[in-house]
Amino acid sequence: VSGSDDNQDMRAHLDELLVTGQPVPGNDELAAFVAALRRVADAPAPTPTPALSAVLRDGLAPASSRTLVDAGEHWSLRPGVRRLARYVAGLSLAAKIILGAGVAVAAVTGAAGIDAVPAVVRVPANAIVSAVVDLFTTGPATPVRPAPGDGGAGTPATGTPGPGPTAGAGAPGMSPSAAMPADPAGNGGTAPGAGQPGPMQPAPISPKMPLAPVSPMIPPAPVSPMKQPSQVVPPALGSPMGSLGLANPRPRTRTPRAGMGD
Amino acid sequence: MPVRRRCRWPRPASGRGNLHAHSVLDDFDPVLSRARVGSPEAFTVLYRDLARPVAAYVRACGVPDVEDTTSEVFLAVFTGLASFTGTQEQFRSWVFTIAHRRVVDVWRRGSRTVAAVPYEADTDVRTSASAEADALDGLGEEWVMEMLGHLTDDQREVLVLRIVGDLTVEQVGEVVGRRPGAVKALQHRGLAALRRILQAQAVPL
Repeated sequence: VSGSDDNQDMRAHLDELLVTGQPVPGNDELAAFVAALRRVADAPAPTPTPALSAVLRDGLAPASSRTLVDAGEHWSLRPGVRRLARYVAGLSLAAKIILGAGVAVAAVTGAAGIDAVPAVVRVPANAIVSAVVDLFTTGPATPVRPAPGDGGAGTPATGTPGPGPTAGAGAPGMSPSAAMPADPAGNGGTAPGAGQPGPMQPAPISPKMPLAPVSPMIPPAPVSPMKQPSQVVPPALGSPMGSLGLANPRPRTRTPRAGMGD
Repeated sequence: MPVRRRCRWPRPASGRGNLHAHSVLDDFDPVLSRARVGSPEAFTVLYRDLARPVAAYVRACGVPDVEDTTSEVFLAVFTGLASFTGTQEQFRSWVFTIAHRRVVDVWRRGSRTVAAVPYEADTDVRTSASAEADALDGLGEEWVMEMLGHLTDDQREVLVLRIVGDLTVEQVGEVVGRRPGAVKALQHRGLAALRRILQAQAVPL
């Protein structure tokens, strides 16, 4: 044990005597100060606030006490969520609607583009995104020209409507492309019951060309007299939806569908 | 009419346990058990036992709103009793830990205002009847706060917790989050600084 250690021990001992209020020779001023500091705690207790007075008067339920602590920890752990909730609550109704629509678009787009999303969710989301993209890229009044050589599986029927339902037709409400098996040779698909075989090259679309039926069970779609034939969008040939077999060949006019109560 | 002010805290013969003998509860465990189930009487007993030292600690740390802060401390204590287990000394240390956190919150908000009113003996009209009381009364609370204002935050807090809170070095270390050696060093430096200031001022006793 060195002399320095002895000095430190002696110093610590003197400090301990001082802070515990014991007399230390040669430190009267400091001992008096310590006594005065200790007397600060001798002052009357401060007046409790109304909240504390209520607790001292009525007590606390055990569950409520736990709830109060938990609630405080919850808010302290998630200040960002609290700020976000306050921000959203302060928006106007229109801003809330826009914000909700934006969140929905982002969610659908994300679900369509992320491979980790299950196919049950990703495939419909992809169809929705493709439909929206197609709507904005082609426009509702622009007829879609079939791409050369595009006649693979999932291509909607382009022939004249057939006389009626046949075996193998999809269930009501089911898209023809989904109900139609893919052609391994890559030939153009033909709707079941079509009056003519599917051509190798799709026939050019004429503005006067009648619309293809959605399914054999559906009668030809009547074109609204208010619309010109050029405004009617034929089935999306060669569109991403068609190539995916997810195209909705139903024209963008109101078409009564079988099995939908019509 | 002379004002007689007595120190109600008896001088200890030895050890720290005698300093706050009036604040030690003989039936602490039953009181704590009742407080855990929300008994208002138990809350009142605990509040009366610790409200004054907690308020003194808060005041000595320069918190301006002593009443509100002290009440917040005890509200947090009462609502968090379900999570506490321990002895009376540990309970005391736990209460001061909560008070320490409240004080740090106030410091962080930048509202710390340590009373730094200079002491002037000529304007001090207080009198007392005995030499001992005279010496003690000469060291009023304002002067004590002014002296504490010369210390660093850490030194002041360690000394206040040790003297006002009546905590051991280990307990103070738990409250402020430091090792006992660091607490002893802060305590020594604080006492040395006070000794130098007192000798320079030559306070008549």
